[in-house]
Formats: sequence, structure tokens, C-alpha cells
Amino acid sequence: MEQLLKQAELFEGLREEDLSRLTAIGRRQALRAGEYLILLGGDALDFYVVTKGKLELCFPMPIGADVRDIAVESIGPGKALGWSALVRPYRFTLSARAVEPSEVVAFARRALIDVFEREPRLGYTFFMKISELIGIRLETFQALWVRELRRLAERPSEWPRGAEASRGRQ
Amino acid sequence: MDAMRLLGFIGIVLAGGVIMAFALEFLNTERRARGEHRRVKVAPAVQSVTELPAFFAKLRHVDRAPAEAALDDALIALLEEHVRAERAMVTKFVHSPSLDSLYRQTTPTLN
Repeated sequence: MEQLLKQAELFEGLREEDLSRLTAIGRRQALRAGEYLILLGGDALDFYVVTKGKLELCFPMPIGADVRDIAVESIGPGKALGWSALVRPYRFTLSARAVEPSEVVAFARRALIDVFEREPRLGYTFFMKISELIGIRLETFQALWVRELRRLAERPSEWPRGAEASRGRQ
Repeated sequence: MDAMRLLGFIGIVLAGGVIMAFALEFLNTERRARGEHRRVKVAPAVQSVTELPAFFAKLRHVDRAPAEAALDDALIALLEEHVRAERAMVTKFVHSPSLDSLYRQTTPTLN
């Protein structure tokens, strides 16, 4: 497992002994194609690193009479997911499902925190990398949202009725 | 005579106590009934919230015309294609933020 985790972008540059500490608390978990690893709104107890296969991060959306999942990101080996397990309120904000038979290593929040309490330097490095991951996600979705707003600005006919009415008054 | 008065007083106090106990019990029953009623109304809402993840994950397939289902699938494919194209566009913004990189144009898929 250590070899697999070594390739994870989150653990790049970690010392061998730190990697061993993390490996000791990791649990391998296999997923069948189509199986869900996490569900939007679910309790986020574990943080994951993908070691094999491919997972999709999805947003549920009502389509017709069904609620369907729209894939917004694909993640493969070396990528991490489930940082909601490390940030209050510890609830997942996306769902993730395996596109093909896949494998992840799960790290329980409690076990990670225990390791970081014993090794604060490792905790610092880990959370610096996690903040980078969260920052990229935030910037990506912020940019996506602004681009959609711009499209809306270009098509006022699609504005909500209230907004159109108040615009008409100006 | 005094003994009779004392007994009468005790009798009145006891009767008052019994009436008060009945009244309080009646009020409690009313309150309980109102509580039950409220619980009955709230329960489905709480249940739906606690079931949210499963609700989202287990796709609810309603019997629908194949044409409608195909249309939904096509819409999902279009949305996912749009997200992919947009993500590709904003990747440059994330690594090198600027107005140009933010508003780069994609080939419109959802117009």
C-alpha cells in the first residue's frame, strides 16, 4: 500500500517514516463499477486516496421525473477525495461513484488526527496540501459560477421574473 | 363542633385536590395529543431529510416512455459535456487568474 500512496499527489515529498505512519492507518477498499463511495449529505468519516480505477464526482439534479447524477469531475489514481471528512460539519458535499472497478485507501478522521497530534509537522504538511486541494476546487467552481452568471447576463429573457421586473423599473 | 369543622375543611381540601388533579391530567392529555399530532406531521419531513443521500443515490426510475428516458439521457450527456468543456476552460484561470482566462469562450453546447 505504501508504494501506491507514494504516488498520491497529496503525499508527494513526505518522508518514508511519515508515509509509513499514514499507511498504518489506511484501509484498502474495493469498489465495483457503478458503486457509490460517498453520498452528498452523508456523514464524512473517512478521507480517501484513489489507488486504482476511476471515480466520478457527481451532483444530483432533478431531470424529468427522476433525480439523476451529473458527473462534474473524474478522478484517477493518485488523487484524493472526501476532504469534507476533515472540515466541519463533516458532511459530504458531492457524491462519488466508481466508473470502473476501482480501489481506494480510506483514512478515518480520528486516526489521522491522532497521527497529527503525535506528529504535528506531518499534520502541517498534510493540511497545507489539503488547503491547496480545497483552494483549487473553490477557484474552479467560482470560475464556473461566474461564467454561468455572465451567460445569464447576456440572456436577460432567462432572468427570474422578479429580477426582470425590477430591471424594468430602472 | 370543632372536629366537624376540621373534618369539613379536610373534605373540601381533598375534593379540591381531586378536582385539580383531574383538571391537570386533562390538560396533560390535551398537550400530549397536540404533541402527537405535531410529531405525525413533522415525521415525514424529518424522514425525507434523513433519507436525502439514499434518495439522491438510488436513482428513482419511474415507468416512463422510452423516448422521454432517451431525452433525459441526452440532456445529461449534454450537461456533462458542457461541464467538461467549462472545466477545461477554467483550468487556465485557476493556474493563471486573469479576466481573459476567466472569460475564454467555449464552443456553446447548451445554447
